[in-house]
Amino acid sequence: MFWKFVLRRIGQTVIVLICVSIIAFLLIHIAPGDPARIVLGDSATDEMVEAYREKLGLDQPLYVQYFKYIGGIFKGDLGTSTSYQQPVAKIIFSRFPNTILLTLATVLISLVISIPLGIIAGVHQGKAIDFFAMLFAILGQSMSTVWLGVLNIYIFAVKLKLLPTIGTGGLEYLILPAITLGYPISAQVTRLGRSGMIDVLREDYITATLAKGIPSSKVYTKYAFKNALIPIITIVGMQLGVFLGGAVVVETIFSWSGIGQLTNQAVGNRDYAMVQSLLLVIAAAMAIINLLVDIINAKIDPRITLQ
Amino acid sequence: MEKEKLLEIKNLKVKFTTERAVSYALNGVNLTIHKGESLGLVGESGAGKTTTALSVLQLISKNGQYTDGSILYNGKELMGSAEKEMLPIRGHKISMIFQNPLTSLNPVFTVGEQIGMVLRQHLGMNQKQALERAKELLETVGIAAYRVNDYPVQFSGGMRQRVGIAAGIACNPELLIADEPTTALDVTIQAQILELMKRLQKEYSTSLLMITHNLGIISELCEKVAVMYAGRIIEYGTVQEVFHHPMHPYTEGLLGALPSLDSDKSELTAIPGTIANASNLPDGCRFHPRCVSCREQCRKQQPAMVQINDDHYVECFAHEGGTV
Repeated sequence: MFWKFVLRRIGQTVIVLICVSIIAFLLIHIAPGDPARIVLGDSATDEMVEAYREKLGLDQPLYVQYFKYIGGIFKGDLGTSTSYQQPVAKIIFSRFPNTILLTLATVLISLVISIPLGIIAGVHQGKAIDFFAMLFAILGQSMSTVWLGVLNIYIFAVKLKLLPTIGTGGLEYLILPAITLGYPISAQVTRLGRSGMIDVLREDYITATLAKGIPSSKVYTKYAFKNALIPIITIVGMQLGVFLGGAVVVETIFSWSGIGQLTNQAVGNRDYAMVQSLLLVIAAAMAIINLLVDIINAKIDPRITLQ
Repeated sequence: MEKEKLLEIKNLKVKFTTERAVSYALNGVNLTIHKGESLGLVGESGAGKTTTALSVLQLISKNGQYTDGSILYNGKELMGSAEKEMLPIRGHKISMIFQNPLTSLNPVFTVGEQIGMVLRQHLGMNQKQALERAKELLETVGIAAYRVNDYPVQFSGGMRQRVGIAAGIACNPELLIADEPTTALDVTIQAQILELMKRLQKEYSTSLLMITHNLGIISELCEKVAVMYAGRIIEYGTVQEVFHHPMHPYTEGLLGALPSLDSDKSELTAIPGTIANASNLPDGCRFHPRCVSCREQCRKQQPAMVQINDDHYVECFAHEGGTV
């Protein structure tokens, strides 16, 4: 049952990836103007443009171009960046580790705070700790990332001089962008954890577990929490996908040289090959994370595959 | 010879506070269960049967409050006990089977885990021993051992109740509280579950508190019966006595509402009105607005429990003085 479910979801993911590759491929044709003309600029002669079209293979039928494109992807060839004058794949893969690092740091920071806080708030609904948890959550969900990022730089870097302002580097450079990205997630997970716990604790099976003489602390953290976990994993997974695609705003504010900053520059520079490939990478990251989230949820809740 | 008292509930009062109202669920419950005895607790929905059971385990919901009374278990006061003191009792000495098997098993844990957790907690078994014992317990309640790693969703309602029973008897408790264990099940499955409980009670010589609104179950399984109305026990005695010579108009009403195949009774008699609202209880005898033989006294005064004979007690002015 479980493996059948996993196989079906993998199949669906492959279909999604094919669709994304078609869209990414067509992007260059949907964009207004002739791609060769855009690349070469207005000063180029018609002969030069024509020669460039042939070089890019733009004179061939669309499906031939598509299969060439796909073939290229499998060989690791994503085209050449016009702004960097280097292979796109090389640039993306040099930036990707930074984005992964930032994503993991963000998720780690946000979950370490939000999961215990959500459980405690849910268990002590209406008490002071619940009030503070909700204040924490509402602030986190209300502040824009831009404002929070600038505020963090102002407080921790400019005033307290504890951390570097911007740049890409070691752990000290990672903290502020991770907090900026992580706080809204933390807020959301706190709320989800709290409401999930409140719902679960009303269930008969929790009373039944307490009636078995299991200590309440264990009932909350083990037997109740597993039920409250599914929406949390779904939300964290979605955010993880978004961040792996690059946190454009935060990476730009903090000059963190990841995929997000690259995307921002590529769009600004009209670097088509780059944008096209970034779209593909971001979509692939999202699809794979979604796949993992579904598999994890199915592992946690047998009802997903059994019913 | 007087049997030893296992559980003695005295003047138990519980109220629940919600934003809208305060509801007085238990208003002075007195109930005794002796060792090895099986007692049926019967009453309409909302009479306070489940609250009584959960009070014994000190597990009423957060908005509930014990306002008075005591609960003695083997002479030890449970009322106001810290969680630490209750843990060795819950699920070990006193265990409970819940009403709805569809909601009382945790959907994300295997049935083996849900039986095994009791064994690990109370008998100090490790994961592997607990799983092995869980298999045996499943066999005892009529479920194949290989299903130990299945999840509740893979079982039918009746099978899930068997799992609940297996967890209930896992530590061989002194008292088993069964809260309407068959209400949510089909009639044929009900019979199987009752048969199983009857067998296990004999085998394990456990005391039983059977909560139900089904009088048939009481006469099948229990020696004693307590009739509950609006948070009080209004009649108590042996099943033989209470069912054949009901004294309280409410008990008479309950028995009159019971269809029978072999009596010549042509019509069922329903008790008029609905059960007293726990947040707006009538003065005097709680039953007086529905009572066919209501007197002036009943409207003002709470009747006391009177002894009719050794096996029969009733809380009604009509029987004061103990005469029949």
